[in-house]
Amino acid sequence: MLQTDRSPDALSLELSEILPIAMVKLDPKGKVLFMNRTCHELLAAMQITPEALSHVLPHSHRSLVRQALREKRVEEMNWVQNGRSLHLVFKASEVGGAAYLFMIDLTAQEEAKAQLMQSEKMASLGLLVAGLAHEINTPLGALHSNNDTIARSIEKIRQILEGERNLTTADRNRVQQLVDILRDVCQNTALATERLMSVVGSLKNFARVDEAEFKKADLHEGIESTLTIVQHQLKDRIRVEKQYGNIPLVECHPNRLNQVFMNLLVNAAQAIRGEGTITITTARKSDSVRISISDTGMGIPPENISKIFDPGFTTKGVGVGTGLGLSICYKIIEEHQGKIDVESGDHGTTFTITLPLGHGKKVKSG
Amino acid sequence: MAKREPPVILLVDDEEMIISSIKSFLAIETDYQLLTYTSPVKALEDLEAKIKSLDLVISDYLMPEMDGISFLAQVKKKYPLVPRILLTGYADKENAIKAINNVGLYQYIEKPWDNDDLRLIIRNGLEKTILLKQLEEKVREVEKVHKELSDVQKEILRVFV
Repeated sequence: MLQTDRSPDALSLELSEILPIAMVKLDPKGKVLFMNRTCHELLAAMQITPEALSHVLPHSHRSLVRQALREKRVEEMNWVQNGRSLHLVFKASEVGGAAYLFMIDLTAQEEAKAQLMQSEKMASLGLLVAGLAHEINTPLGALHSNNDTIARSIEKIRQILEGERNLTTADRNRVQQLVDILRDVCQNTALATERLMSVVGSLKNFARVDEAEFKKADLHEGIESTLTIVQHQLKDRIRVEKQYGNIPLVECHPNRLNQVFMNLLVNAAQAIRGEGTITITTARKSDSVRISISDTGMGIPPENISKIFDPGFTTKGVGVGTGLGLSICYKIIEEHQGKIDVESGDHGTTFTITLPLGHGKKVKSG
Repeated sequence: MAKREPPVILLVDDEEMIISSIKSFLAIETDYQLLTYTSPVKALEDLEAKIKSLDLVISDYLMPEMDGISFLAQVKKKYPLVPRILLTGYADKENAIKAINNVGLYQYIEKPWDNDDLRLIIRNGLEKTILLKQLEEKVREVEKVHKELSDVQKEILRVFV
């Protein structure tokens, strides 16, 4: 039962304080008139002082607020500030010239959803690949072996013919020519089957579904198999330069890291218009390893650089990017207690991943 | 060394194309006598009724009637000394490794395989069979001699004591 011995003002103040929804009252100029406790907590998470709220509401979000006011709808937005990103659902109402903003922070839910979607995707991809690899291996095994048998047979035929005295020179030349052609064809088939075998090998390596635990792995192996997978995006357009250092095995989720490498490589390839170079550098730094992926692409505009790790942020347009790529990379590297940094200019972008060598069971802070 | 009969190898794979590949390869490179089956059940029947000797067995793992490990376990009952080789695809590699420990496999070969590797594995397996057979013969000889000796000993004891 509500207590009735209070004034309506005191009651609404009390209600606003216990409301699990952030609430702000703004005057028509955007100046903050009032905010409740949940809102203070939200701003604290974003490292914004209440006074600065009206200044930090980015321009695009201000228009979103206006739109929300106009259309009286529930809106969603990603708010990036001071390196933090929040996924907010908000509604705006206007009462007597002042605007009320109500915001619910759904960042954790949104991240969990994206993570879940991604891991389900990876799990079904893994199963598909394992099945496919198995199906391909039987006929491929037969082809590979048959081709070798044919090559051996040709060699034996050639030896018999060499010992054969009753042949005219013309016949001998003709037969020799045929043997040469067969040999070439066999060599070609051998190359083709080897290529298939390496693609299947990379697929298997890439989609390692069986590994749920941290294990020591060779990062170069992961990078190499990922390169095979993204090869078609690079084609002849992009040169890949590898500056592999002498790095030890790293305790990690190999398939999760492969996902990160793939994301970064695909992004790098998409950033390069026309011809260019992707440089992959690895190096050991006392108790960590550093992996950099640089491209000679168009770079990331400064106004976007703080948003690139946000879930849902994309500049690629519908159907090209999910906007989840880098946020998931960020999450995966965070799981490894490493960090991922970005540096970008007119001459390209470099992503640098730093991973600790051993994975201490450190409790996550914050 | 005395002229030996060509070694007898039993090959079971439900895929005709795999049998055909291995058969062709071994035909041009070796004198092995190859018995091939697409059905492990039929192979086991013939192993009981028809097949007189066996030096090595190769089996696929994933087959509809019976998996390769169960099949090889059956073969082991009749021919405990014959080396058992499992041919595996990717998806069942883990199982193959388990089987090496449980059933006691000689080797496993992953598809797609390399012909030279296959030949080497078979050759080493056969050598092992031959050595084991020779060892068996020697043991028998030693036992025979030992028995003769103990007979003589008994005879001596009987005469003198």
